[in-house]
Amino acid sequence: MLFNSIDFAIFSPIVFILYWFLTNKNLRLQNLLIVTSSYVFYGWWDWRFLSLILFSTIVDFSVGRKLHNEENQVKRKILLWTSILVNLGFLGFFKYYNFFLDNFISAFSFFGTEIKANSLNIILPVGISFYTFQTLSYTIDVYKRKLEPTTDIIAFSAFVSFFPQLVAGPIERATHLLPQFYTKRKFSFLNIQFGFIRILNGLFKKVVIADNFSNVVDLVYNNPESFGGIHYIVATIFFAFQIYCDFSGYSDIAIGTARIFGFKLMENFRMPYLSKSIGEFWKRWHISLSTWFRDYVYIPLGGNRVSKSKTLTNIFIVFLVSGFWHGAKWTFVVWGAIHGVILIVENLIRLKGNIQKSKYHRASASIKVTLVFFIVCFAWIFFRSNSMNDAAYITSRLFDFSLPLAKELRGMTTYLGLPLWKFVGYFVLIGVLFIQDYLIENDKLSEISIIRMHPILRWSIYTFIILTILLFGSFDVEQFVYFQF
Amino acid sequence: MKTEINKFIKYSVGCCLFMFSTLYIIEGSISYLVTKSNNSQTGKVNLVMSHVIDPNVLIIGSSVSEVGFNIDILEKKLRTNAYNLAIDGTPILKSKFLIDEFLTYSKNCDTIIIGLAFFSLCELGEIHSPERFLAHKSNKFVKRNIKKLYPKIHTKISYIPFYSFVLANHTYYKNAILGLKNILSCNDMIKSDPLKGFVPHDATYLNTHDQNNSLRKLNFSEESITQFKEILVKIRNHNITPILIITPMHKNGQNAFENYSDYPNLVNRIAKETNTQIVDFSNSEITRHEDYFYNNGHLNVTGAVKFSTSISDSLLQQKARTHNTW
Repeated sequence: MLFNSIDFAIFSPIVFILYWFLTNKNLRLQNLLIVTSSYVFYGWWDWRFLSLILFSTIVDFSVGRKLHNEENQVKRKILLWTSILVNLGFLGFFKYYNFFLDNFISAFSFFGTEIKANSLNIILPVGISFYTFQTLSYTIDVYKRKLEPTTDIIAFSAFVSFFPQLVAGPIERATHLLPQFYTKRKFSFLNIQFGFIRILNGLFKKVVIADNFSNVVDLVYNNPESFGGIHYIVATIFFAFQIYCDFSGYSDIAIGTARIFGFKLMENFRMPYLSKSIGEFWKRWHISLSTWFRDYVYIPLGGNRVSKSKTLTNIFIVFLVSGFWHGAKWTFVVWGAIHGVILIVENLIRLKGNIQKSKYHRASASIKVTLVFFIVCFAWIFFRSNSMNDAAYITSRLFDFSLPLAKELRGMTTYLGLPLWKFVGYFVLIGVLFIQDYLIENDKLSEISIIRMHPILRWSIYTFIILTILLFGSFDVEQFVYFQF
Repeated sequence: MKTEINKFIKYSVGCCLFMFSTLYIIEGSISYLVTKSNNSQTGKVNLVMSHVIDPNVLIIGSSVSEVGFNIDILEKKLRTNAYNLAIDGTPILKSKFLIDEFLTYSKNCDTIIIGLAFFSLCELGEIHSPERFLAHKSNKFVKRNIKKLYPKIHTKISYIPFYSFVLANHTYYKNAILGLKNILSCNDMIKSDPLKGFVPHDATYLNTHDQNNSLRKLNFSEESITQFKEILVKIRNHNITPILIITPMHKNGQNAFENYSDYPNLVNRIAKETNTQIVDFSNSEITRHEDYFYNNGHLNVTGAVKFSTSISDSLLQQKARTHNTW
């Protein structure tokens, strides 16, 4: 079930009423409702994949319980690896089986050995990368004795399958989300208003910005031979905002929906395109994933408590794995590698995001923000390209401006298939987004500041956003970009 | 808890009322302004919906008819008044509501000329340019037409609040602005179009058929044929004579289909079965001249003159045979 669908618009009020007005007296019943509705929400895509969630839930719940009681270190390790292998096994099979098979075949044929193996027609279960990481965090934290394992299977099932963040995060830590299922939630009008504003903002980002931009991005990236340097640059800038608005829009809706049900989810984005370094960018972009990799990969590898060269290697490994997590394609691996390399360079030259205030502070910060934005955009080329060949083709012709931006089509001048007013309008949208991010960054705009306004003014803002979504929204795009990961 | 719920109910009701009434007023105002536009296709729909046009001869059809029927020539030759109500991209069944509405009020019309193109009786595709009739979505004929052809869209328009905002495109809002201008300048909707719905296209021929492409096939729809026959009966029941015209298509265009000849045969069969007059241009001299077309399906200005003159002559001959009066 998609957040921007009629199905969800009907589903969520029903769950809301049952949750707050029918099951509110009994916490276990309320959690059971969350589990049931989450399974309905997930099963809406393909009910067969519910078995994966169920299996993962049972395995991790049992492993967690056993880990708590087990004192033998070897047995504890076996238990941990059982959970890791089950979870990563699912992920590996559904997401990476064909990738590894194809690459093995290519590698052997390179050395003159022909191997015949048929790739499988595997459908990737929606959100598998997200809930797998979430359940893994539980087992690892229990193993490290950072968390008491739960004895409540319903609360644990609700933690694994909690529908607002089930398919695309934020990837919650058991230490943060699980205790919220043990605590009685109170109906709060403030939470509902907060949630509603977040949902509206998320829908605006998704339907008005991301889905409109995707048409232009797809046009260029699905047929790069027909375009030139200026088109690649504009399409990549649009993609930078498409993926930001698509994913942060989803996170906003997830956070907003969870808040309406009395849960606080972690923030996943904090104005990433205002970053002054790549290091800072990763503290602002997909925070739940980058902190997951920090805690469960980077630190166990030694983090920065080892030699400088080992630290830099660890950084590179984390970004390589992060790229691979996004998808079974070399383009994602290269994307991760680019970020890793830049971060290593930043570490070596000690480029810091927060520089000392000086009279050149603003100018220097603006230059850094711009520079970081273009580096991130360059990496996005690999992320978005359909193949490494396409990415190489685009990067090699990035500064070939022989083809003009405007094109005559049936007597009309179009810019990447758009009339001028729409093309300019897209840049206006980017401007609006930047202003919004700037105001939020400087504490001049927040959910609370809107909630504190006079009701008529507040309702006018809601009406304006809804009208904007209805007028300018694109309702043809079906998926959120990050669902494929 | 109780206080919070009371607060929630109080503010939610207030907020919903505010939002719904504001959006309703905006939607209604835009829709009203669109109905006052005389621009292009939306303008034509408005002329019928507001009962402004009532010619003796009404032409209906798609873009082929819109660029082909030169009203000035028809009026002079036939000594009558006429209006070209053909709408671009719209086979007759998609704009059936226009005929239904026209028949409810027309007092002067005695002939409806139906310009048919090769796709007119094929399976109907997706909804085309809904912004042209969206402002009249409450009209019973529009509703019926949408319900029959696009039940899903009908459900959404009927049950999803403010769905017209989603369905409308920038042309709709452009028409709202033009409508506002018309209101402010007290424009006469019909006088502002001296060509009376005819849209001449001044361009030279371009063969859009790629010889290397495989031949296309016309898939006629039994349902479309039945509905079309019902329209003919309905027109006749209002004492109006329907006349079918198979509009000319350049030979290159005809050759792009493996079964083009089935189309004039089918229309001739319908004409015979329903006892309707027909003028067939599928094999006329016009179809062999590139000078008359700007692409394989559409006549240019010169072609429109030739076609309109020919059609007037044919109609006059038929009139002489049947003793009809214009």
